[in-house]
Amino acid sequence: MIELTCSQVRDASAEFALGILPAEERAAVAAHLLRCPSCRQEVEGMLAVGARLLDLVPGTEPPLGFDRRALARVHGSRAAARAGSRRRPSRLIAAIAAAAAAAALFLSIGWIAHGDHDPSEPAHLTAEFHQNGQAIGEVDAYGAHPLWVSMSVHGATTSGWVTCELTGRYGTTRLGSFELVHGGGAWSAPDPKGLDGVTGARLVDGQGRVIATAVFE
Amino acid sequence: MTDDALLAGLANGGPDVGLAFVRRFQRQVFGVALAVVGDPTLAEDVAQQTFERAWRRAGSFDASRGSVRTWLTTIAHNLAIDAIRSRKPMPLDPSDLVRLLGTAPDEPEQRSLRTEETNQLRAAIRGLPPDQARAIVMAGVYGLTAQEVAHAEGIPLGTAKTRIRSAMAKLRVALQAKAVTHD
Repeated sequence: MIELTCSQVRDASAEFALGILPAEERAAVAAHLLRCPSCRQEVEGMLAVGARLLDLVPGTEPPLGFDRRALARVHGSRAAARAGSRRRPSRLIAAIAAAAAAAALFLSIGWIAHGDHDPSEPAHLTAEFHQNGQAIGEVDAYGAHPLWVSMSVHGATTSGWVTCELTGRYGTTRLGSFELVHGGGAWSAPDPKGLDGVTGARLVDGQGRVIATAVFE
Repeated sequence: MTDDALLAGLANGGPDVGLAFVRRFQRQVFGVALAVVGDPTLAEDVAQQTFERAWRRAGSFDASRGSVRTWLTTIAHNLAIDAIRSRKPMPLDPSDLVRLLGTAPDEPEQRSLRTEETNQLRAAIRGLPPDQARAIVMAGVYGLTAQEVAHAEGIPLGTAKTRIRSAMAKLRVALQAKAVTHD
């Protein structure tokens, strides 16, 4: 890596603070700042100016529904983080996963919480994905109109596009597809029908095969 | 509810708090993303990433170093620059620069301290030589590198670097002087 002098760092401090310095120079400046409090103070002053420049940009109303889509993305990440930190599946989940494994289904979904639900009331349900008895992800369903469904998978042995469907008394609702890359992926979408009549969920692979299923009590 | 409390709610609270947080800041976040990437679809993706990252990093937010709004728009700006970094420099519409440097507040409800601060910033930029003002807006708002500024302005790279550096130094002094005046 290039060794920079204090003079060189101060020359580059404005570009560094604005985030527009080429990668190699940026790394060299950062390395210098780690050992030079004086230059660090200089750059912090520039960073404050750079942040203020963004006040010049007028606010722009995003497309309709942005707020819910953004929140769904946050919830998807939150679900993934929770799934990643979880150690053991619940007994119910383990039982569902075992049954699914016995039926030669290599991926299963076990719902932690479900029951008769007033469709007019906001829901917040959480579900775990299991594969061969191991927790590999999670599903969140929250809201009311529409119901938002977010899911994330980490560490599955399957890759490629899968489709998520909710099944129930009124047929099957195809929510959308997401890609598992190296066994992982995250996705969210609204279900305009809500939870009314929903009795299960399933994942379908690109060839139309049901690779995971769950039936709610 | 304060901005800080809403941010804490985004990290730990229910959907209602998260929704309130997004709605409070979505115009600024989307506006910064759109200004940099110039494409509404990509801007929405960047803006969504911004809120996702805010949730991940909510614990690291330090109110003593700036407002939630500034913190969020900085995240959005960095993500937007990353999003366009591999692309060709986007053509700048001169009217955008004029709009950014204009004097009129962009929203009626912004007749507040923030508007006053923004007007100070606009005044400080208008006090710069025009070539430096253009360079700092291109680099600081649109995320153009010094090389890209040089190309857009038809000037040597060294000149572009000097304009950016000089403008930043002058703005820093001007804004510090304003802050002292108000203290």
